[in-house]
Amino acid sequence: MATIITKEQQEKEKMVTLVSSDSEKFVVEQKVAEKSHVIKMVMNCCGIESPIPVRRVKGDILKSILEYCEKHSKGEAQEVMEKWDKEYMDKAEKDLVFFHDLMLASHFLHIQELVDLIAVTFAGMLKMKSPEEIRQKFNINNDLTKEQEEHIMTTFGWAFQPI
Amino acid sequence: MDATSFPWELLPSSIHEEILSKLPISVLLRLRSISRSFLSSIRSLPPSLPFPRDPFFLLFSSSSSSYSISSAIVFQPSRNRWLSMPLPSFPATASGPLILLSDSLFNPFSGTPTPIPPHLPMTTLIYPLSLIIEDDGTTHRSRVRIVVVSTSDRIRSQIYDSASGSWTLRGELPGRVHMLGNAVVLNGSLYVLSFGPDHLLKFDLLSGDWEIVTEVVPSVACAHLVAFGGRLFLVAGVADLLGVMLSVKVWEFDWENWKLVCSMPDEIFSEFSGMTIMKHFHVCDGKGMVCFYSYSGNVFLILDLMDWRWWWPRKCPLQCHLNPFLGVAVEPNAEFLR
Repeated sequence: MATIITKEQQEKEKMVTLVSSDSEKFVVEQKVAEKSHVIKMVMNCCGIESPIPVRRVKGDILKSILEYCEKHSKGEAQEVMEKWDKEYMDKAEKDLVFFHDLMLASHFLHIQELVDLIAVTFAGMLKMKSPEEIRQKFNINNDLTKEQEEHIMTTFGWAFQPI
Repeated sequence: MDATSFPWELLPSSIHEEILSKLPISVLLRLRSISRSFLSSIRSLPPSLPFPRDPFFLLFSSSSSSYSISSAIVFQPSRNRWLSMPLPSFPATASGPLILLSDSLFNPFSGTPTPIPPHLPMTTLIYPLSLIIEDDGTTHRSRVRIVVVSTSDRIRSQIYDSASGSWTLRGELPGRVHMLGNAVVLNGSLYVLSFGPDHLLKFDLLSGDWEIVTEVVPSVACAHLVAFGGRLFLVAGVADLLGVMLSVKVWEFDWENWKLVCSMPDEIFSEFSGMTIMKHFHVCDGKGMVCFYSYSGNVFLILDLMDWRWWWPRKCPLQCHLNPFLGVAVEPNAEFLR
């Protein structure tokens, strides 16, 4: 006898549970989770019935990533997406630790679109700043020797002309 | 990790690559001085990464009385800024990071010249047409070729090839030509404009064969060829019978005809021409960015062929009375990061 599947059940069947490293649970549509190449492979081989552990990613990061994946699985107009991406990045880059973890997680989960977006945003932060401003912003210690620094500054001196 | 620290060195190298490949080479050169970790990330970037376009347009002053100049004023569109670079003499043409001077190839980014042997003697005046730099995939050394021509009763060409280190006479096209315009490289051939008569010529770099491809769009002036994205464009002014410019347009050659693809908008043209009679302007291009300069308006203007956007660069620090003219475009390459 054929089983009659209701629309609700059908919808329900497409849901998958993801568990962050700090045991936070997220129930999302399969097509949202599929945005991550890694999760997609796990779903392909192990199915979506049991929760999928995302061991290296903490709850707040996974939440933010799934927010991105959900928005990007809707197929909205390019202008809408660009605006949304910009706002998403504006928020993320305010907290550098969060931004750093988001970058690592999107790379680990293999969400290439998001990796690209973060890389472009990060490159934008570096582009218009002097080396000293960058060191300050990212709390980087200048560990180059005097000789190394001098060599760098003199070989392509034009690149260091004031912005 | 405290609230503001950002452990760059702890990110995997593939993420370093993702981020750094989004920056022009000129910016990466500067970022080398941040820390050891940045220096080593930048040094180990594969040169084949698709770094953003970063042409530099070089300007010279025609009022320099002597033939020796010491520097050029340079506009860098990617950062909308003007800077100064060393340049020992007037350039003939450029390709990649190198400028062809009368007896050497000059790298304005590092300030280093590489001498080239003198070309073969000819009975008529010889002038440089094109510098072609190709990356040799196997040895990581660039192959440099230089084409020079003489035009009198016919076009005669000779080629220098860095592979052999010598010049050879190659190529001839019968027929008198007043002069040749700029040349571009496309699909292994050089495309060149000739003036008087106005033709599009093709020079096959392998066989050395010259041929007339087609006529140039009629009644244009200040014509300039641009190759970008595998397409061939003609940028020129449309002038009336007295030589007064009425508009600036771009045509694309579809290998049969010239098709109009873009016109300078009226309000931009008014500002460009300085609301007076304009009979001449300069054009120079690099990486699909076309830079225009008009004496009458004393303004620079950029057209980006990537998105067909016209935009005004930041005001040039060079004074109008110095009669600047646009020369060549150069671009730093990934080898500089080593």
